[in-house]
Amino acid sequence: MLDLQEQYDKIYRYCYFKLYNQELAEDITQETFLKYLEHYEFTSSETTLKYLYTIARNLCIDEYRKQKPVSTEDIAEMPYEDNIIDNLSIKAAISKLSEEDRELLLLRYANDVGIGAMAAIYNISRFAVRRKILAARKRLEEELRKEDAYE
Amino acid sequence: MELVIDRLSKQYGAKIAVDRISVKLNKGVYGLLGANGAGKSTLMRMICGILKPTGGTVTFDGIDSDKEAFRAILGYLPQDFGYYPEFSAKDFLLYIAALKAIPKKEAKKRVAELLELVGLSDVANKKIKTFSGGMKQRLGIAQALLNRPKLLVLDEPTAGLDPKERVRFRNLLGSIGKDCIVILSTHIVSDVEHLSDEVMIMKDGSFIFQGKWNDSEMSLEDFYLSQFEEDEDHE
Amino acid sequence: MNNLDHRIKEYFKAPAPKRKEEFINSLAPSEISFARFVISQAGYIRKLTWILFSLVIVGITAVPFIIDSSVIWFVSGLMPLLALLMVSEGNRSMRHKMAEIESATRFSLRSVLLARMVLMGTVNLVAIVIAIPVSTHFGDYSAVASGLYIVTPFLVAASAGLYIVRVMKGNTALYSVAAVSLFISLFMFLSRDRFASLFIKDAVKYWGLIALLALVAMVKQTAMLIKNTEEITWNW
Repeated sequence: MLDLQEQYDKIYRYCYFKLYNQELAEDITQETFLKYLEHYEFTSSETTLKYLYTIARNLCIDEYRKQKPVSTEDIAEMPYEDNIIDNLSIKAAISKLSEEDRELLLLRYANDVGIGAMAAIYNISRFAVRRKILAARKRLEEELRKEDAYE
Repeated sequence: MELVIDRLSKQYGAKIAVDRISVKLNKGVYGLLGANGAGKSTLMRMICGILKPTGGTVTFDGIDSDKEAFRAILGYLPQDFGYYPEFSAKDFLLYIAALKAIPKKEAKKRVAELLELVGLSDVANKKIKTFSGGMKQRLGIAQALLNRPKLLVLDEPTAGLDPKERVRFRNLLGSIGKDCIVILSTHIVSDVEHLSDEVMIMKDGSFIFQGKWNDSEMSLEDFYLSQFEEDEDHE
Repeated sequence: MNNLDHRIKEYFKAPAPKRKEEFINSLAPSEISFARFVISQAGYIRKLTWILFSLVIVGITAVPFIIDSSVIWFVSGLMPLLALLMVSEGNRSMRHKMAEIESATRFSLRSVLLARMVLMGTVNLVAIVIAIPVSTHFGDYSAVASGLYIVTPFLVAASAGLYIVRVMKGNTALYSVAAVSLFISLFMFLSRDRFASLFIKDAVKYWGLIALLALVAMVKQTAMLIKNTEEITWNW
């Protein structure tokens, strides 16, 4: 029992921040749901998310292989609506993080994915998930300090 | 996603079966607890739009309960139901699927999925008259899910289920309840405790409690039983 | 730390998707039309009903070759049976306790009843359309008279039957309908000799009147049955 309205936005966001292309992100999002609905519809809530994100990730990886990877400069250049000083430094900081860290932060803070679901997605323990998130946060804070130091 | 029940009432002559019940429900599993005859089934039927209230309204995201669009998002399992004599489990589900306006090709697919979900795949072609009570109940749950309902109303769904079936049902409910509104009625307190997020206790047509039960002062069971003792004292 | 959480969330704001509604709507399965639904209901009419109906048709068409005298009595006596089949099919949801589940579906019990009545009504109309010319040809009466002698018992039995299943509950209702139908059948079978006065030329207009009243009653009862489905789901 998938809440399509809600999950569409979240998977789309996940794909967008991997591909940095709106059209493509939406294509992949739709393909993800079609695959999911074909095979995995009645799974429990935690495995639902696992399947969704796994399918989405694999489809994104297939896309990567087709085109050149996005560079850090490209990420930093992504246009945003607000231009508050706050956002500029976080933009720069996050763009310096690894792909893995960015993904973790997106899942946890932007998509509100629960610890249990994340553990299922990465196939690691809940403890390990918490540890990874904390570590990613720490690295982000470190980058932010460096950014703020320039100002 | 919101179900709004506004001053819903049902009166039969002098008897008031449901007395001005008002409540707003969002996603989650709600347990409706009450003795037999407390008005639970009457309330559930009005929520489904199959029994006309004598007062008040029921709307789901603004759609009134007597509209076709309301029934389109509804899944209902009545307390007691029959079946056309020669139906197999598959026949039954296909028949209901047609009533739910699901096209044949899609219906076949969903019927297969649901039979799998409730563990009746291996008896899909067996006649329902050979089924045990628990199997029939699982079939009833399956038919309620055919149209991917946003509002699921289950009247005494655990009746007749053995412990293994109860566990399966609990898991199923867990996954469904995250994305739609589930109302299940029962007179068994432990069902409510294990299956639902919030509880509504019904007595003589009204709610004497609604919300999350806080165990710290009194267990739900004790409170519920105390309500009956009061009745006995009056007799 | 909340501030950081918030800033992270803000960072991950993507431009709005453009094809969301379109996609979600495309997933919603198309729905079958009411006409298609009625056709699907045809498949659920009992085999027994079809068999009995066929026997009635055979009876109507074969009987002229078996008995010499006017066949009208036999044919008109069969009509209440057709009415009984119609009422019986319409009543199945209630008898087999499917009415409540059917009520909560998109098409609802109403449509089920309507579909069944329409199907059976059409089928019976075919029988009547066959019966009238056959009886006229092999009988002593005019087409109009024959027509009325055939249609009236059908309409009377049908309207009475529909009324009975509306106000009575369970299997007793159907037994009552069967009894009423049988009574009317026997009346038609046996009246040729006993009640000759009923069938004189002048009496035809009374038959016409009764037929008309019965038709109105049948339509009214059908409408009430379909509108007030709550009434008939009796164990409430």
